Amino acid sequence: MELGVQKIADQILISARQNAETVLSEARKSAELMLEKQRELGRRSAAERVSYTLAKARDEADTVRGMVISDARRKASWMALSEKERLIGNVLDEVRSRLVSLTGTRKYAPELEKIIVDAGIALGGGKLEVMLNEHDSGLPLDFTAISKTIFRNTNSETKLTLLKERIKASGGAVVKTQDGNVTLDNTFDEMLKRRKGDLRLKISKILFG
Amino acid sequence: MHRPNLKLIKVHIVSKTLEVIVDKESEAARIVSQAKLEAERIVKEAEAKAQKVYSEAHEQAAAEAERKAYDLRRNAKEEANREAKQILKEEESHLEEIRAKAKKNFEAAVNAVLSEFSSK
Repeated sequence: MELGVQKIADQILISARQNAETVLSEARKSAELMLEKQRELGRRSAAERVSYTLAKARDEADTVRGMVISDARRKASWMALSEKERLIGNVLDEVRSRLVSLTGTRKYAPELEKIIVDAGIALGGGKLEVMLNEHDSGLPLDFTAISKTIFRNTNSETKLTLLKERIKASGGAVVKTQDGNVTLDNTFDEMLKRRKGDLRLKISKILFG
Repeated sequence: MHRPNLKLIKVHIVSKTLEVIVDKESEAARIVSQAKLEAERIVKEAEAKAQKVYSEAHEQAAAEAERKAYDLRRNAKEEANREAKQILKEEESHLEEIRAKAKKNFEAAVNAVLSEFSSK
C-alpha cells in the first residue's frame, strides 16, 4: 500500500476510535450522573426520616439527662435530710440519756413535782391518782404542796393519791382522774414522743441554723 | 516490445485505494457501532442499578442518622452521669459542713430540749 493511502486508512481508524471513545465516555458520564441523581434523591427521601430520628434522639437525650440529674438531686437532698434526721436523733437520744441520769440527782424530785403539777393542771384538778416507777415512789415528794399548786391554777379542790401500781418508765409520772376516764402520761418517753414534732424543729434550728 | 497501458495502471491504483478506504470506513463504522452498543449497555445497566442506588442512599442516610442518634443519647447519658456524680460529690462536702455545724451546736441543742422539760 502506498504511504498516502496508509495514512488515510490510519486516520479513518483513529477518528473512529476517537468517536467510539467519546460515545463511551459520554455514556459513562451519563450513567454516573444518573446514579448520582438517584443517590441524591435517596438521601433527600431519607431527610424526613433522618430529621425525625435526630429530633426524637434529642428529646430522649434531654429526658434521660433530666431524669439522671433530677434523680441525683433527689438522692442528694435525701442524703442531707437523712443525715439531719440522724443528727437530730442523736440529740434526742442524748436528752433521753440525760433525763435518765437526772433521776439519780437531787434536782430530780422538784422536776418530778413540776411534771405532776403540769399533768394535774391539764386534767383540771379534782381527785387524781399518780403512778410512778419503783425508784420515784421512794422520793420525798410533797403531794400536799403539789395539790395546792394545782388548786391555785385550776380553782378545783385537788387531792392526789399515789397508787401502789408501778410504771415501767425511766422517769416522769402517769396521772389520771379517780374515775379512770382521763389519763395523762407524763413519763419522759411519752412527753418526748408527744412533743417530737416541735422538738425536732427546735433542734434542727439550733443544730443547722 | 509491449508498452504498459498507463491509463489502466492508474485505474487499478485508484481502484485499490478506494477499496482500502471503503474497507477501513467499514471497520470504522463497526468500531463506532460497537461503541454505541456498549454505551447503550452502560446506560441500561445504570438504569437497572438506579433503584438499588436510590434505596442504598436512603438506607445509608437513615443508618447514619441512627448512629448519630445513638451517639446523642449515649453522650447525653454520659454527660448527665458525670454531672450527677458531681452533684453527689458536692453533697458529700455539704454533709461534712452539716456534721461540723451539728457537732458544734450539739450541746446547745441538748440543753435547749432539756430546758423545755425543766421549765414546764
